[in-house]
Amino acid sequence: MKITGYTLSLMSLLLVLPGCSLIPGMSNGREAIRKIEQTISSTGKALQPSVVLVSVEGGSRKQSSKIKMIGGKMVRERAGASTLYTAGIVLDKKGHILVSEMLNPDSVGNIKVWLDDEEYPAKIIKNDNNLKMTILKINTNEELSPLAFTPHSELKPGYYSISIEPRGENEDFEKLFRVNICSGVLDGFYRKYKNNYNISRTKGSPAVDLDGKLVGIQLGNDIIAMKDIYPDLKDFIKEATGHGKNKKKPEKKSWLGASLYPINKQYAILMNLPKSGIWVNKVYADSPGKAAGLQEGDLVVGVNGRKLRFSGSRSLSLFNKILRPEVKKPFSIEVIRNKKNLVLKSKFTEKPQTDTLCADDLGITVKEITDHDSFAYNLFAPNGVLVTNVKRGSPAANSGQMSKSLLGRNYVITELGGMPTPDLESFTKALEKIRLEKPEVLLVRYWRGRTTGFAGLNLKIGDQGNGAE
Amino acid sequence: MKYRILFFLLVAFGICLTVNSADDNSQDISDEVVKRVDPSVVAIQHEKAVGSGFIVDPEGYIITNGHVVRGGDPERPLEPSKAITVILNDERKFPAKVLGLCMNPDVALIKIDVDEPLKAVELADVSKAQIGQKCFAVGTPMGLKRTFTSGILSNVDRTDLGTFTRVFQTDAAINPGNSGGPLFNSEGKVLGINTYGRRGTNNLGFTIPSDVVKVMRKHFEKYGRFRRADLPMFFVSEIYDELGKALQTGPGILVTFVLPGSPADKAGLKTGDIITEINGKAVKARSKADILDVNWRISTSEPGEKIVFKVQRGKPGARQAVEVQGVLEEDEPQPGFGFPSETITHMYENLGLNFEELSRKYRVFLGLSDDKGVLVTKVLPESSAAKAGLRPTDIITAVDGKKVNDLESFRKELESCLSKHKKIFSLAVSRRKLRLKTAIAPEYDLKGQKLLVIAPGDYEYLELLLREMIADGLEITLVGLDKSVKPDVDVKKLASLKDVKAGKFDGILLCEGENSKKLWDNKKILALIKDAVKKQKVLAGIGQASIALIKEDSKLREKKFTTSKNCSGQAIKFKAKYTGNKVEKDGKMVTTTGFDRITIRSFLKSLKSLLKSSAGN
Repeated sequence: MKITGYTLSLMSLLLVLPGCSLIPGMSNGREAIRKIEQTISSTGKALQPSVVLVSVEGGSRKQSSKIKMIGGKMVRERAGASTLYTAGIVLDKKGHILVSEMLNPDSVGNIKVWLDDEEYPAKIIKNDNNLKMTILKINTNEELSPLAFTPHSELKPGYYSISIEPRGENEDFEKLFRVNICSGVLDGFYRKYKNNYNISRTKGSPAVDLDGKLVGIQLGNDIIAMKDIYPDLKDFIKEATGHGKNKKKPEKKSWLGASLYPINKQYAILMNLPKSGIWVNKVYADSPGKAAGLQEGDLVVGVNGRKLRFSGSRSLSLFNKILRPEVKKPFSIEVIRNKKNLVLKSKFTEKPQTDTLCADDLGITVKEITDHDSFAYNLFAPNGVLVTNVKRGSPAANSGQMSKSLLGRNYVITELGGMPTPDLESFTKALEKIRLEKPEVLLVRYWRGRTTGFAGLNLKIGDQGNGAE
Repeated sequence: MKYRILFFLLVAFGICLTVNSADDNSQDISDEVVKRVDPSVVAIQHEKAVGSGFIVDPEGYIITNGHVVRGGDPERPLEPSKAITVILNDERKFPAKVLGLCMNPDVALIKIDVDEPLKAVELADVSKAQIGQKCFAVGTPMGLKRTFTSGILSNVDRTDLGTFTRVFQTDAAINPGNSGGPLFNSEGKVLGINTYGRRGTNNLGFTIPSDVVKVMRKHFEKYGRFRRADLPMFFVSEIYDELGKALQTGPGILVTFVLPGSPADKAGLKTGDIITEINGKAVKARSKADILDVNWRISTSEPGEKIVFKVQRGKPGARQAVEVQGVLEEDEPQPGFGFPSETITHMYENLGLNFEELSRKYRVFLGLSDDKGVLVTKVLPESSAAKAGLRPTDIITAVDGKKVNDLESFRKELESCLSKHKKIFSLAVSRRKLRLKTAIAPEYDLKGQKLLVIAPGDYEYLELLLREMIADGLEITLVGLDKSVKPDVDVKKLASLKDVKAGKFDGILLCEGENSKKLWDNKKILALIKDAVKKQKVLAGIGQASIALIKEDSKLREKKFTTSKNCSGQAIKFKAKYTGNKVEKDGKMVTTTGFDRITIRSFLKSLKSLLKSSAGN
């Protein structure tokens, strides 16, 4: 039996309504149903062609990893990866598709986009770590229906929204309308509208209000607010697709360059400090924060002339929202230091881009270690290069033992083939030498957490075998 | 014709039956072997688990798994259960005493007292064990009586389970309850102790080889525990094919890490050394199994013994032989990564905080900083500790502004704050590279209430009781009726009951102790109890001491009551409502058997709720 999305949406409505909350402008449930029916039949159905199903091989990683001791070493067992299904939004007629997943070409397999019954291979064009989104491209002669992101609107607690869940060819129905009630608004850099129930399969699909206006994009149980995300999303789409008449240079990313942590409320009470304060835990070298004179142990109480409010992560969100680093933009931060209030001022600078290097023949991607990496990843190595990815089936991955590779993420490589690699430059030189000499095996010295180790890589294996004999 | 067909069918059916019965006789395990091994396998039961075991000595020595007999008390992880029963194959039951238990290797030795010699197993020579050889397991899986399951040895050097020794793998069904039972070869000799079955898989069972049993038995009989020897702290790796070629070295063992400042470092071992000899004997490791074998040799040496390594040191092609000497130490308790932990957990239930001593192993394995303090291991949701933002693996480095370098100083400062009923006090925390300041606000549910604790003698759980009650905000007056009562806890202490009146307190707790029977006839105590009943105070009793509560007061005899098992006769004699439960709460009286620490914690909860509910009355 082919069940239509429309029938199901009515069924889901009947489930939703008995416990429904406030429906603005509607006096009763019957009216609400009528309004939802209208939205589905007009805007919802118009939206349908703009939403596609995307499958990503190896994109879903179960988080049920556990720590165990193996051979005297602590190993985090990795659960297997499986195919991820998500919704994609058609951005243009050229075949650009937006997905709300951070997809990295090194860590995922084949990506397919489903247009009705046809599947199209897709490639990753660009991803954005702040938005946690990726733009894909497919080649098709089919007529595509891009989604218009404007005009958009906002949701309030108690308001309804409708989103579309795309399904694959094995499902009885193709696209399913979901009706949600906004149960609250989560403050943050981008606000999120909380849904009344979990609808993780619709991740990435657009959500519209009952007037048919776009309100956001589904992220599991939340809808990320279109109003907040739109400026960044617009730039991201422009950069990736080359859209827009006034093609601007991609904006340079800026940063404050400090690790911040909200004060514990109880500690604030005890020490008579503001509950909305945020501790400065670390100020990174060559950062605008450092230039402003920010110090570890400072308590941030205000930003750009505004006092912080709330407490905990909400206060930190507010801080980020007001700060919004942009290159050359001035900023001021008010801190309490030694019981005195100080206002520190400076201008944002461009966030230094760290170089990464993909050593395909070894099966690893490495990067220069920044002050931030050392702090965030709890690195103990005095120097070296940081492993950011290990390719499956490569020399670095093949240990001969299931679910354990010879090298892993966050390992710090300090020596390659007997040559010290304190930085990316020396690593590159060592790698060039290895590529010229084509040894059969390669000795790698590394740090892993507090400990050191050695690995012997067999360079003849993997799809990038170096031809050593 | 019809009859001829019927006759033919009957003959054919008869032949089939004959063939089938001939098959039935061709057993995988012969009758002789079954009869020989069956009496040597036992079932083991206690209050928390069931398992299996096997007799290794006619005098009643039995080997089983450590996890089968352990008490499961995180505050005393290597303490056995208190009421272990061994059931022989002829259904005779014996109380058993644990002579030693260890969690890695997961082995325990227990003993029962028997009048006549038992049939002991014979241990197989496991060096001759081969993949594919037939084997069978015997035990009491899932509470089922005597069960034989058969299979083959699927692997003889499994090394990826995090054990200290290599283990055997078998496809003979190993289910919960098989733990501790034997895996026999087809001759009926023990290949190993059935220990692990992997859930959600088919026929993956794991067995600790029986050569381990011999070593462990010696340790248990000599020391009451497994004294693992080690030269802390260095890590090694096998030199597999590619690594050997890359290092340009011959056989040996590669030193991959030496912890600076550790005994191994002081002895002179260096990262990159290739160990070729240990105590004059050549060593090499091409596989993890080889490494485990060498580790096992070191582990089973005597702490205090000298260990001499011959190593090759230097760059490839220019290595030189160097001798390194060190002295073996007794290994630290093993943290519970994938196994039940050997390390002692300390708890403050009221704060929702569990913590442990910060060992070298924790620092290295968890990548912790060098900051001194105590390690947070568990934080209960919604607790005071959770509200303070504490997380497992945090190191608490200061309490109320005072540095705490170790467990003792942490306890001292924390208890000082708790006994003063400080509403809120600061904590300094080291979290990886973060240094945080936070504050904890204990809830002091029983603040303002007073409890009289009467301790007739030294009692192992007295400190635990007092600590937890202080954390609850109770004001405690401790009367020690014996000089042996010297708890290291900051409470008001009195030497006698002179001038003590029940009316001044919200409750009275009679503690267990060496002389607790003396409480039964102590007139002052009996009068205090009567007075407390009259004034509707809370009364609590632990173990034998509880009898004093019901001895003279008829009202209390009407309440549900419990006491230690050996005093149940007294309870019945006094016509009390004895239930035998571990903790009994009825009206304003709460009593317990005081069986173990877990029972005491549950008793504390009941006492706390009684005091809380009677607060406003």
